[in-house]
Amino acid sequence: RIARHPSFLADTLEGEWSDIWPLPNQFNPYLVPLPLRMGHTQKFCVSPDKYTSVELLKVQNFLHLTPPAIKKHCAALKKFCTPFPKELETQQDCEREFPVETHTVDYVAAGKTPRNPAARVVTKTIRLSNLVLDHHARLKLTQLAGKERYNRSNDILTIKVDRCPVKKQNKDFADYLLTALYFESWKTEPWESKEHTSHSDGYYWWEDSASYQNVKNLSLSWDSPTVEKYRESVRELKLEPEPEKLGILTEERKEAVSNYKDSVIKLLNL
Amino acid sequence: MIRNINSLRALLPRLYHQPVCQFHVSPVNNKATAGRHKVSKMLNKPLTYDQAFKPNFIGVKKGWLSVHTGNLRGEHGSYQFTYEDELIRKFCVGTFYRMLPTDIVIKRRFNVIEITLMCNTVVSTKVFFLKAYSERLLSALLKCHIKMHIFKLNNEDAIYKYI
Repeated sequence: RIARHPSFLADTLEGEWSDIWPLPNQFNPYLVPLPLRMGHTQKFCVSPDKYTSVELLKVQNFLHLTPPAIKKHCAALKKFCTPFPKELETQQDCEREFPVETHTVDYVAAGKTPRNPAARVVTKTIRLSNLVLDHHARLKLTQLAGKERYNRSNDILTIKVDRCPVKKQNKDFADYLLTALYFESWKTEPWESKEHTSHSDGYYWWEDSASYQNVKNLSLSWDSPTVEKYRESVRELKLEPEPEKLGILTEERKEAVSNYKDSVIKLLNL
Repeated sequence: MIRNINSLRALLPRLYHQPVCQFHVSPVNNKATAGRHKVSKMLNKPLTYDQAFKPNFIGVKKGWLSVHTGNLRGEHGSYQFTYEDELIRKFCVGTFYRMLPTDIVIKRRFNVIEITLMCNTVVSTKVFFLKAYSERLLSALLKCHIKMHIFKLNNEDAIYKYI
């Protein structure tokens, strides 16, 4: 049947080609009806034709993936597919519905086993604004997670697990870590008091500081709003987070400094 | 007067009665000789397409005879696959003795090894028996599925140029 076709792909062959070449296969010169030659030509030499060429055998051929064959594949698979939900249009919608993102990698290589030790790594990310956290809980969670797991600029907590040998175990462990972090951050331990926490933990007790002493010397009433404002502004300045670029006066910094200035002026009645 | 250390050495056996063994070393010639064929006097030495190009043309004018993922970055098995390919080549050259005008192409896809040969025999029963035998034996040796593809090629058709 193939011998009858002339040496160009006839229109009738288009539909039959996927029957002749359904799967990835070694190049067979007796099945492919093209007059192919492969190879570099030198002086007085002719590149070998398809029956004598080893080059054509070495090279990967994609003759099983002609466009009509791909169309047939897609048509066959279509009945198992459902359309993408219309509600999930933007990235925000997807994040609202599915805040936790799981990232895993599968590896494919030649060899006797499909196992690859690098495939057990599981990374779960979640934006903390999707979690219900008060000030203390958020602080505690970021402290427990650590700098390398919590990215402050985009508010994303990343947990990468590779300590178990199997991917499923790592996934379960990552889930456990997330739940544990969340519930632990809502609890207040007895050791989270004045004696054991410091500036680097994010806690600042104004009562112990020098500015408290200064205000005491001014002999004002403690309930006045000016003292409250002063306290707040001093607290803001002391608990300032580390800036990403040193030496640049950002908006927040400007605000904090001007707040401090206003509160001091009000306090001293200037 | 002792002019150089060699003459001192020549004196030593007589002085201390110790045997001295020397050998002659010619200067080293850092010359690449891989994949290069000497030109014959009568210009009648046949070369196939693979033999006609030097190894620096692999990837440019020649393809790779053995295809696997072991040599990619971060992948395991490069030594294992090379060793197995050597075994397969020696095995095939031996079973199809004097029947292979060109090299053997080995491709791996997951746990299947596809071996492609060009054979110059006409007797099909012989070829089919040898094919089945090699497939069976190699799959037992290498613990993989083996698929062999054999095509007919005469010795004269495999020649690309004469040197």
